[in-house]
Amino acid sequence: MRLLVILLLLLPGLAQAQWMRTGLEFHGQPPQPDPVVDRARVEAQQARRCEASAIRFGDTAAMRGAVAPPDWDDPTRTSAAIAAIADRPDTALQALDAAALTATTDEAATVLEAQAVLTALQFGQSPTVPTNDLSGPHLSDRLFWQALARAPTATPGQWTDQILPALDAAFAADPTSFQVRAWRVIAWLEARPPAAGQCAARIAAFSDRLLDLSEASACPLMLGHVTHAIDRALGSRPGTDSDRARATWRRFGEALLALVAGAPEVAAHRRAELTGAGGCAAMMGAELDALAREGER
Amino acid sequence: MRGQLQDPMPEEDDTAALDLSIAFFSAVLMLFAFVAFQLARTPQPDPPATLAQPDTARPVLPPTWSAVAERGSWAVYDGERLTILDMDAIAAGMRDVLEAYDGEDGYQALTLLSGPDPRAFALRLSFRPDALPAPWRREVTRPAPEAPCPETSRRLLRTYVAADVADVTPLARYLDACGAQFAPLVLREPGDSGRVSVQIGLGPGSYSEEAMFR
Repeated sequence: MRLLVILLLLLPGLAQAQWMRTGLEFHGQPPQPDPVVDRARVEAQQARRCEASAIRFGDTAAMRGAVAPPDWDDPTRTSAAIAAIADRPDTALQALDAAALTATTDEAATVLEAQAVLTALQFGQSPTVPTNDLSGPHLSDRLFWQALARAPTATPGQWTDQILPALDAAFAADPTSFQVRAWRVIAWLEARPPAAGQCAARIAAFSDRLLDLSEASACPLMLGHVTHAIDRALGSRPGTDSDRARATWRRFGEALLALVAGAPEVAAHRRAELTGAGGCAAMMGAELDALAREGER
Repeated sequence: MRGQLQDPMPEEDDTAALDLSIAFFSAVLMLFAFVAFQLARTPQPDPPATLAQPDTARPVLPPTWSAVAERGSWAVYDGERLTILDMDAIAAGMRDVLEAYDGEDGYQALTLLSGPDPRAFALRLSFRPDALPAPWRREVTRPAPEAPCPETSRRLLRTYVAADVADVTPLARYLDACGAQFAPLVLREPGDSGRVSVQIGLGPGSYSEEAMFR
């Protein structure tokens, strides 16, 4: 009777386990948990490594070649050049205003308007960033700048409610913009990932953002550059981050990027720092271990 | 008699064989132990703690880590004087050739580069580092510990340094004390005319090459 009870208790587990035969012996293996980080994307990026991608670098849609080069006449080009070298905002913005008055097409005017917004930001001003009637790469730029303009004074709540959605919308408008992909990771970290929610869902969401970023190029140098830029934006290294929960997410992020970039020793170092960190660290570690094992095959 | 001859091994020989086999087995065990110790890997040194630069360096070059590049001013340093260039005067010369300065001590020339990108241009400035054209001088200071700070320059100062200046430490200290960021750009040796030429501008594709991450 007792044996029957034990058998009934073990039966569900025995049914779920995967049984492998070696000679005359059967060995039961517990079922593996469903992967949280997208394995296919990791493998694809590990295989592609430093090859070029369709993702573009540049401050504006025109600069990164996401729209056709504007058809400017010589006076417009001269005004744009003056705006580029000026060290006083009035000189630069007046030159761009003068050029916009003579723009012959809507596209040329839109490019000049974007240049004026960017120039004002470069001079440390807080310009209004209109998004009326725009779509695609131009809309992506404006949403990105709106997010940047809010960033210096934003609270974690505003990062979550305003900036993160704006950057996601910018990403949807132009998936080829690298700056938007990079700031989607920074904004997610700034939003101080909420404690509520399943670990698996949160790890999947964060790793998707990281893999969007590394899709540009999975070169070690490139991703080292990215990691350093994130440190600069947040003003700390993971080891000196005052927010322990965020530091854990950053360690996971660096480990994942290192795995993608083919730096297993760095990944192992960051993975070791996750041990005993609490929160979702155990699941992060399990995912990193599984990815590392698959990378060794 | 016949039975004694058929005895295969005396008792003492049997014991000796047993001792030998135990000794052999122990030796093999010991060998395994040594081999196992030999195979123990030496501990790996700790990997570097970062994929990136280990610490934040003092910013000597213009910061490119911010999402948007910071606008700066342009200046020339000849070892004694720091001259802030009047970019408004130079811009006026870009807009109208007749207003562009053209003299023995310097000249400017704007070229709108041909190519697929209409934004590409090159502004050529030719000048004597120790005697800049008067219209280009917005402000002149003499960097020293107690000297007044420049009043008309931005925080970021891209500074052309004359080729014969061996030490920019006094300038760096002066600008640091003034809260300015110093981005040195070393000039070539002047030619026979005593002038040296520089180019400020953008080439086709330079945006994407320069702005790897912002």
